[in-house]
Amino acid sequence: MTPLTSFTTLGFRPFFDPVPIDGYWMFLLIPMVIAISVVYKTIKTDRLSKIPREASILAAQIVAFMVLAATALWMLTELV
Amino acid sequence: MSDKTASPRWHFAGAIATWLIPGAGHLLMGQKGRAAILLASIGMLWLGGFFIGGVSVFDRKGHPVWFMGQMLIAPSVLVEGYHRSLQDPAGQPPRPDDTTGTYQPSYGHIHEQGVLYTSLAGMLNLLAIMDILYRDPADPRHRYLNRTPSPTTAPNNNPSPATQSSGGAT
Repeated sequence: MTPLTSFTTLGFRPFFDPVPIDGYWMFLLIPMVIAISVVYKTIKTDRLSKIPREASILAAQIVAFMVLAATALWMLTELV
Repeated sequence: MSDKTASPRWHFAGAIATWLIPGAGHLLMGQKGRAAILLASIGMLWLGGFFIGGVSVFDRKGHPVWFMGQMLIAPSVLVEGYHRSLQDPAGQPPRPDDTTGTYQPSYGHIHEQGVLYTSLAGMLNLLAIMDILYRDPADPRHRYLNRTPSPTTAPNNNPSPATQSSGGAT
């Protein structure tokens, strides 16, 4: 039985049982980055109308540096 | 006597309100928009971690350092207490293959992500608590704290209402 079939057949109880999305855990980083950007910019900006643009830029910067760091670490472990 | 209308102010009640419910302190300050965004973003992150990993992500004994981050949102303390009440008398969680147990503990990446989401939500709430705890009226974001118009902001005798109370709009 795969995790996804157990999710649908064995009576999943939200907040009591974990969601079987082990294979997609890396995609869960995206909402986290967005939340960090939005909260930080909500506190730092003087006008709420600036938040969407500034939070988007910050989220893109975080993701870009995460990719850079991952690439550098991959090169360090695989090529060196 | 110094004319110091822009003295920093401490707001302990607002900080405690933010600890109880993210954004509540900003709401008390009249910053409704900021409060709504903080409640939505921090609340969704916390609920997301809770949903992904289940109740077992709140485990004070299992990972006490992460719980220090989680407890920066008050409901985490309640959920952790509830999690302990679901364990057997020996303090052990149900076995992973026991589908009839009170809950299923999470493991691996899912557990990590649940813990990370909820701890991060707590640490972001700490930013909100710090923001509400110390309000410097000289800061452009906190101008609404200046109730008395200063000579530089009100050259005439008819000051604009926007310069006195613009907390909800910023």
